[in-house]
This record gives sequence, structure tokens and C-alpha cells, in this order.
Amino acid sequence: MKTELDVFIKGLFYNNPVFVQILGLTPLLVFSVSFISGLICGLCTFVVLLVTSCFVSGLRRYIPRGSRIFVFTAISAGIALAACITACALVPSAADSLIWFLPFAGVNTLYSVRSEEFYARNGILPSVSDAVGCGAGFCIVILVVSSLREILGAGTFAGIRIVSEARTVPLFISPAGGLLIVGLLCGLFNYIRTKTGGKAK
Amino acid sequence: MKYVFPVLITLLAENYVFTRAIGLDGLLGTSADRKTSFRLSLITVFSSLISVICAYVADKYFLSRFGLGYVKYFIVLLVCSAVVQCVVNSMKRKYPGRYVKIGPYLPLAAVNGTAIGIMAQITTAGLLFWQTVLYAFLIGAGVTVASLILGVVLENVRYSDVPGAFRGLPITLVSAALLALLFMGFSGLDLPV
Repeated sequence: MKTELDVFIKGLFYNNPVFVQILGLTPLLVFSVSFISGLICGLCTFVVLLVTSCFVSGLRRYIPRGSRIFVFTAISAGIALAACITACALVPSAADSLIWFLPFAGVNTLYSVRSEEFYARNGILPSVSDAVGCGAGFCIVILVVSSLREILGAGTFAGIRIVSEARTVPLFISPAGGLLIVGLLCGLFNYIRTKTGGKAK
Repeated sequence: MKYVFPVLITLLAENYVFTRAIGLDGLLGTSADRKTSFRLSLITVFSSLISVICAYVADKYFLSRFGLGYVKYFIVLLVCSAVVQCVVNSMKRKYPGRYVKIGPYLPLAAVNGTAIGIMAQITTAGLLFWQTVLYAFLIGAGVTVASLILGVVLENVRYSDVPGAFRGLPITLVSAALLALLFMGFSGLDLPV
């Protein structure tokens, strides 16, 4: 059980998918414009990554080496499609922003790279713990980024106004501001990581 | 001028890297070396062209007849990734030496290209075949432009005194943010009427 816990913490913090592995930046920036869409995207990514890890590690002996890109894309896109339809049914108001989730799920390098690097080489239990760690790491990052962007850029949090409109900076809603926030958070993350003993990249 | 302005708008004002963050992963992971990142952008352009052609043909002649709606994108994604996989496999066999150097990033660039192709197909729904393909090519060219500029900026960053915690990815992200800010300046570009 100890190794599974190690894998989980590694995925969550020391090997964080966004800040260390540079994965999944595209959906992170596209969906973090408001807290609600960030929450939906984070949860969808978490579930899709979890199910993908089960499928890929369970089927890893049957996937030929020469067709990995195709099979991994097919698995994760199929699960993303199912997640998307479910989310649209549960939250009809978010259907407009979810229409873009599927093309971006295809481009989400989180699934393909983690499948290639970890799930195709390990059993189900380590794969699932890695998926939970990486998914939770991605979720936390997208929640922090989206709440910062919404508060700074629009002055609201989950739709409730907390800062008057005159004091907002619309730049943070644009991709440039998103990149800036992710970059600054990444610097902070590296600082904390070196302080807690991990090696900075 | 009728043809120059749409090209300029797609390349600069609607640069996919900086306005929609598509292709950022591949860009940030590989922008260490200008030559490698240029080759990777070429692969992105190539696979986006393949994907857009697949997507157009599949959509026009097969999928639009069934009224699939949302599931359509899934099927297009499958077709594109299958074709890209074939191309990658044949490349691996033909240029084994070159594949080793850019090998790990190849699937990344290919997947990015696929997404660009699909996005182009969705965005330009209803346009003619050559217009769709040209649009996909211009998006790919925009990614190439962005990766070249970012590569040059990062080469200069390497010789400057960056605070310890900001070395590596953080300073890359902040430089990309400033570049995106710069590209926002082009957003006023519009067709002269």
C-alpha cells in the first residue's frame, strides 16, 4: 500500500501534471475563465483520466506497439464523449461551454502522455492511484487558476459579485492573463517545492 | 489586398497559440532548441493538413447524412488519429535516425495537429474544400510563427539572471504571456471595407 500512496503523492505534488510535466495546459487555459466552467472541466478531466487509466492498464497486453496513438486517443475520447454527454444532461446551462470539451479532450496531452508513460507499463492498482493523484493535482490547479481569474478579471466568484466592476482587470480573462497567472503560480509552486525538499526542475 | 488581409488576420490577430492556447503544450515542452521546435511545427502543420482533409471528407460524404450532432466530432477524431498513426509509423520506418531525436515529442505534435484540423473543420463549417484546407494550413503556420518567436525570446532569457524559483517553465510561461499580450495588439486588424 505504501508504494501506491507514494505514486499518489508524486502525481499530486512532486510530479504535478501542470507545473512539472507541462501537460494539459490547453484545457486549463481555455476553461479557467470562470469558476464554474473550471470546476466542470476539472471534474470531467478527473473522471476521464481515472477511467482511461483502468482501461489502458487493463488492456495493456493487447495493445500493439504500432497503434498506441490511435488506441489511446480512441479510449480517452470515447470516455470524454460519455462524460461530456452526462455533464450536459446534469448541467444543461453549461452545455455551451462543454461543446468544446471533446476536441480539447483529444488534444489534452494529459491522457495520451500519462497512458504512454505510466498506464501502459504498470498494473491497474498503481495506475489508478497515479490517475487519482494526477487528476486531483490538475483539479486543484484549475480551481485555483479559475477562481483567481474570475475574481481579478470579472470581480465575481461563482457568479456572485465580490469586487466592484470599476476595480477589475479585464486582462485576466484573456489568454494572456491566464498564462501570466499560471506562470506566477508555477514560480510559487517551484519555491514551495524546493523549500519542502523536492528538487526544482 | 483581398487575399493578404485574411492571411494576416489568421496568422497574427487570431493566432491559435495565443488566442486559444492550442498547441501550447508542445510549444512549451520543446521550445528549448530552435531547430527541433521548427521541425515539430512542420509535423504539426502536416498532421493538421491530413486531419482537416479527413475531417472534411468524412463530414461531407458520410457523417452529415446521419445527423449525429455531437458524436460526429468523436468519429472525426478517430479517423484523424488513425491516419496520423499510419504516417507516424511509416516515418519511423523510413527515418529511424531522425525519429530518435524528436521521437518523444512526435505523438504530441501529431495530436496537436489533429486538434487543429478538427477545430478548423468546425470553425469553417460550410466553406469550400480549398478554403478549409487553407485555413488549417494558416493556423499551422501561425503555430510555427509563435514557436519561432518564443524560441528566440527564450534563447535570450537563457543568458539573463532569472530568480531561482522562476527558472525553467515559469519564466517560459511569463514570456509567453507577454508575447500573447503583444499579439492582442493585432486584434484591431480587420478587413478594409
